[in-house]
Amino acid sequence: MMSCGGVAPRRGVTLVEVIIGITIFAFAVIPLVGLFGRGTTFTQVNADHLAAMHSSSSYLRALLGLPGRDIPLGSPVELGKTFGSDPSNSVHIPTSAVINGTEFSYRLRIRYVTRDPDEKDFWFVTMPDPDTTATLTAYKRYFRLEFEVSWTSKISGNTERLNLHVYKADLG
Amino acid sequence: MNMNSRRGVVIVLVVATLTTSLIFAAFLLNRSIDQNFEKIATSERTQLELLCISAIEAAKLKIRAHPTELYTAFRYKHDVPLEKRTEALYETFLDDLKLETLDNRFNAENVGRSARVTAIERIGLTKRENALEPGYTEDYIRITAKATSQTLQAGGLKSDVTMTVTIQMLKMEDR
Repeated sequence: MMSCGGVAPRRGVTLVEVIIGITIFAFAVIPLVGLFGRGTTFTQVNADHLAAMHSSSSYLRALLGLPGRDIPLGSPVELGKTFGSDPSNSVHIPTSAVINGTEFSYRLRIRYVTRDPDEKDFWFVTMPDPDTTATLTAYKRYFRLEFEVSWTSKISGNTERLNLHVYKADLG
Repeated sequence: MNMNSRRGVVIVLVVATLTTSLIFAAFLLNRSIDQNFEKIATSERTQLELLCISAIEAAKLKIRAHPTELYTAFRYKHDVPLEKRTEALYETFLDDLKLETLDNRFNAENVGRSARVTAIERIGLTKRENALEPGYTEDYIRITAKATSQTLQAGGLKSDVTMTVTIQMLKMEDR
């Protein structure tokens, strides 16, 4: 660019350059905006997952607090009722619940634990004296509780599932 | 500024913008993957904690069934004369307090997981004047269980959960 009459040359960008620049910037930014959108999706998915995990863990811990005689056996156990003969120590487990707009369905299975292949016995090994091994059966004294939560994601439409399980001793 | 140097500036700007965008995108993607993995890890930790409680429940059941054997094991571990002292009874007592042994379906349903009682300790009876002989009156014991998940360890996140629970047991040997 030539100077004219002692005036400093003025540099600038043409319209074409500006359009090219904006286009390049847009190409760079659009995927990032998409990632932000995915972040929001993940947040919703994680929130559902956490809600399922907390409700599952909470119901299992409540069942752990019941005496052995109040533990319902079944595969699945019928839900929608209150478990526990003592009103001060009981837990109501619904068949489903809506949390933050998502409906969660619950399923509970409880069985006795067995350690032999025939599923007929459960025992412990001890050593009452050195080099003397003994066993004592504790059949039908150890429960396995499995809680399954399933829900349909509002974002993806997929059916999700979460399983947690715990074992409980019947201490009488 | 001539046309060549202007073109150079444009190229530098374009490359810088794309590089910055790529770095930022990689950062966001990495965070997203980490969050997803953490979601899995959190539920795994919850499951492992429940398995620790399960192992402790098994220990409670065994102690209820075999109180004499446990205290005999303690005596042989700590109190008998040195030449008769052995940990074999104690180790045998702990040996089957693992879920993969207790439940014949555990391994099939919990691939990569294990949970076991790692220690049963008597506490509050460290002083000899607390009358270890002829037996124990009231005694607290501490049960420690540990659950691990190999699946997560392989993924780069170690997720060992150790929890300690103290329960009160009543020694029945001298009653």
